[in-house]
Parts: sequence; structure tokens; C-alpha cells
Amino acid sequence: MLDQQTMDIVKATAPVLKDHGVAITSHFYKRMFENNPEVRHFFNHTNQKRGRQPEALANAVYAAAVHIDRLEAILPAIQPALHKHKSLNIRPEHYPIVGENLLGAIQDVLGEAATPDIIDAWAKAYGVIADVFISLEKQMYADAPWIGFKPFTVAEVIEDTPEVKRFHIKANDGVVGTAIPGQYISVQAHIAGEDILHHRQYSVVETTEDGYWIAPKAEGLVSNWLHEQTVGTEIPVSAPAGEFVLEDTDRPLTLVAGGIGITPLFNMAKTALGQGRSVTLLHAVRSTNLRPLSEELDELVNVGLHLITHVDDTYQVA
Amino acid sequence: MSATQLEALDVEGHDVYTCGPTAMMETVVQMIPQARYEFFGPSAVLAKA
Ligand SMILES: Cc1cc2nc3c(=O)[nH]c(=O)nc-3n(C[C@H](O)[C@H](O)[C@H](O)COP(=O)(O)OP(=O)(O)OC[C@H]3O[C@@H](n4cnc5c(N)ncnc54)[C@H](O)[C@@H]3O)c2cc1C
Ligand code: HEM
Repeated sequence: MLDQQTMDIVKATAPVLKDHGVAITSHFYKRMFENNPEVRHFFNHTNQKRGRQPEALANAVYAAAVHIDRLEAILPAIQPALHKHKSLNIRPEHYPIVGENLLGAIQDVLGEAATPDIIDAWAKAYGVIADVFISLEKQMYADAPWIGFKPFTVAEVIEDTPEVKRFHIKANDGVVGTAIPGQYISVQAHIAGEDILHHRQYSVVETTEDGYWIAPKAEGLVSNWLHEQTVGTEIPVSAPAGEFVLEDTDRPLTLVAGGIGITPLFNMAKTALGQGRSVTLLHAVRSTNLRPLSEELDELVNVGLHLITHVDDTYQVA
Repeated sequence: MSATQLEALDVEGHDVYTCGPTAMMETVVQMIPQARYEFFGPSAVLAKA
């Protein structure tokens, strides 16, 4: 528990930090990747290059700081982060790295305004917030069918559309956990010529006895690399994660998908139909030959799916 | 995805999920505030109606 004075300082200075949010966040990442290159591979560098690096991490720290006296208030909001962390195998030892670099960035950007009292209060607050993350993630790792990345092998590849391939990846040890419909796995790409590993998430289209079907659309670095992989290739994969999941209810289900966004919703639709639920799916695509999972969707129509395909060639992908 | 099409859906008492481009999901959550959404890109928070 933090003392009152620390909490007061943190709450009073949180808005100042938020005002300098972009400066602090950009400096934070630059600093962290220089000082601790060992964590670079966890992050999606395309998001950074495109200027879309989620300020999510630093923003969540500020949000937590504002609620520092009742952190339970932020628990719903941090669920996606906990799942993403689990999927990427973020461990307790990584938290001090983020903490040191975030505090360093605050200090660098605020200059003299960041008095020792302020920095000290923030260091303590970060410690408390990090402990919440670490303990919740510890429980998630304990419940996971496996921790971190383990080898899978590509067992089957199907050309789904000119842009999308479907991969059946099977665990080398034959052990998988069922992905709750809507969940994703992370793949770890060892790409020739790249100095770091790259990680990306792919929604589980279907869980099989010893593996998963995923459907990457060829877009950039990792998805194009995946499209070059053939049967027999080994790919490290982490356990299913994500809180965007089909809830266990008997209410009717309405799903609205755009293009490749069908992947998590397909798993939800198939599962819910199997449970006898009424399912409507509105799927927007640029053209019918680019509709992912076309045959599978038509099969679901045969078992009761109410499918509305909306073809719109002005549809924006980004 | 047009607003008219979404309007045509009867979602009263339904569980609603959406996944796709940000602009599309924005339209969805504006019209169907109970909709849950998933980003494939950097995550963000969408403003609901
Ligand atoms: C929960 C979740 C589930 C997902 N499920 C799926 C799924 O089922 N299927 C699927 O296909 N994807 C899915 N994704 C997206 C996936 O994780 C990847 O983001 C996607 O495959 C693109 O990664 P990439 O490495 O191929 O492309 P990247 O190299 O990361 O590039 C992404 C885009 O940015 C552009 N780009 C790259 N560099 C720059 C630059 N310097 N400036 C401007 N633009 C640039 C590329 O042309 C491309 O369009 C999911 C993501 C999440 C978070
Ligand atoms: C208390 C400290 C932390 C907070 C509050 C925090 C918060 C967040 C949030 C909110 C997200 C976005 C989740 C989403 O919606 O997808 C995120 C993603 C992420 N976090 Fe954390 N995080 C913390 C610590 C860490 C640590 C220690 C690491 C590892 C060094 C880390 C690595 C990542 C990565 C790699 C992502 C995904 C971003 C990407 O794909 O580039 N985080 N975090």
C-alpha cells in the first residue's frame, strides 16, 4: 500500500504527465530499445514506423495512477493488456525494464519540473501497478496449457483467396488448449536477414485435436513470410489468449465482420450454431472472390447461419 | 458497411461482436453500443453513441 503523500503527488501530477504523453511515450520507447535491446522483439515495430505505436502502455500507467487508491477500478480496462502480455510471454523480470525507462523518460521530458519527490512517488506507484499486472499474469500463466512459445509444425496449407492462406498448425507434442472462440495465438517469426524475432497475433479460426487453423492475409513482413511457409515448417506459437470471446449464453448472436476480420467471428459463429443458438453474420468484403473462408461460411449457412454478404468495392481496408 | 444495413439488423437482446477495419467498427459501436470489438492493428478505444 502506498502512503497518502505518495498517492497525492501521483494523482496531482498524472495530468501533467498525460499532457506530455506523446513526448514521453516516444522518448520512452527510443530509450528502452537503446538501453534494453533484449525487449525490442516483443513489440510490433510496424506500428511504430507507421506512427501508430500504441501509446497504450504509457496511457495505461497514467490511468492506473489516477486510480492509484482503488486499482480494482482499472481491472476491466487492463484485460486486453494482460492477455497480450501472456501471449507474448512478458514476465516479471521485464517490468523493471519498462519502469526504469518510463521514469527516465518522464525525467528527461519534464526536466527540472520532475523533482526528486515526484520521481520517487512515481517509482513507488509504478511498482504497485506492476505488481498488480505481475500477479494477475502469474495466475494466467498457471492456467495456460503451456507457457511462452513451443514448436508447432505446418500440417496443411490451403489457398483460401488470392490474399489469404489458411494454415493448419499442429503442436509437435500434440498438446493444445481449446481456444475460446474469438481468441488468438501469437506466432514467432524467424525471418532471414532480420536482426530480431517478430511476433504477430492470428485469431484461431478453429481448434483441432492437436492444433489450430489460422488464416493470415498477406499484408507485410510476417504475413508474407507465413505465406511462403509450406507443410513441414516449424513455427513457435504461444497459447490462446484474448478477452474478446464468445460468452457462454443462449442469447441470439449478431456478428459484423469486415474482410479478414471474419476469423475470430467464424469460430464464434460455428461454435454458437453447434450450441443451437441463432446466429446472424453480416460480412463486408471488397469482392466475392476475396471473401475469406467462403466455403466454410456456406457450410455454416447449411446448418442455420443467417449470412448477409455485403460487397462493397469502395470498402477501406485500413 | 452502411448505417442502413446495420439499422436493418434486429439486435435487441443479442450478443453483438464486430471485427474489421476501424471505420467499420466505429459505425457498428455508434449504432449498437453493446457491441464488443477487436482490433487487428494497434488497439484503441472506440467512442460509443
Ligand atoms: C488479436 C489479433 C488477431 C489478429 N488476427 C488476424 C487474422 O486472423 N488474420 C490476419 O491476417 N491478421 C490478423 N491480425 C493481424 C496480424 O497480427 C498482423 O498485424 C498482420 O498479419 C500484419 O502483419 P505483417 O507483419 O504481415 O505486416 P506488417 O509488416 O506489420 O505491416 C502491416 C501493414 O503496414 C504496412 N507498412 C509496413 N511498414 C510500413 C511503413 N514503414 N509505413 C507505412 N506502412 C507500412 C504494410 O504494408 C501492411 O499493410 C490480428 C491481430 C490481432 C492483434
Ligand atoms: C505496469 C506496466 C505495464 C502496463 C500498464 C502495460 C500496458 C499495456 C497495454 C494497455 C497494452 C495494449 C494492450 C492491447 O490493448 O492490445 C500493452 C501491450 C503491450 N505491452 Fe504492456 N504494459 C506494461 C508492462 C509491459 C512490459 C514489462 C512489457 C515488456 C517489456 C510490455 C510489453 C507489451 C507489448 C509487447 C505489448 C503489445 C504492443 C505491440 O504489439 O507492439 N508491457 N501493454
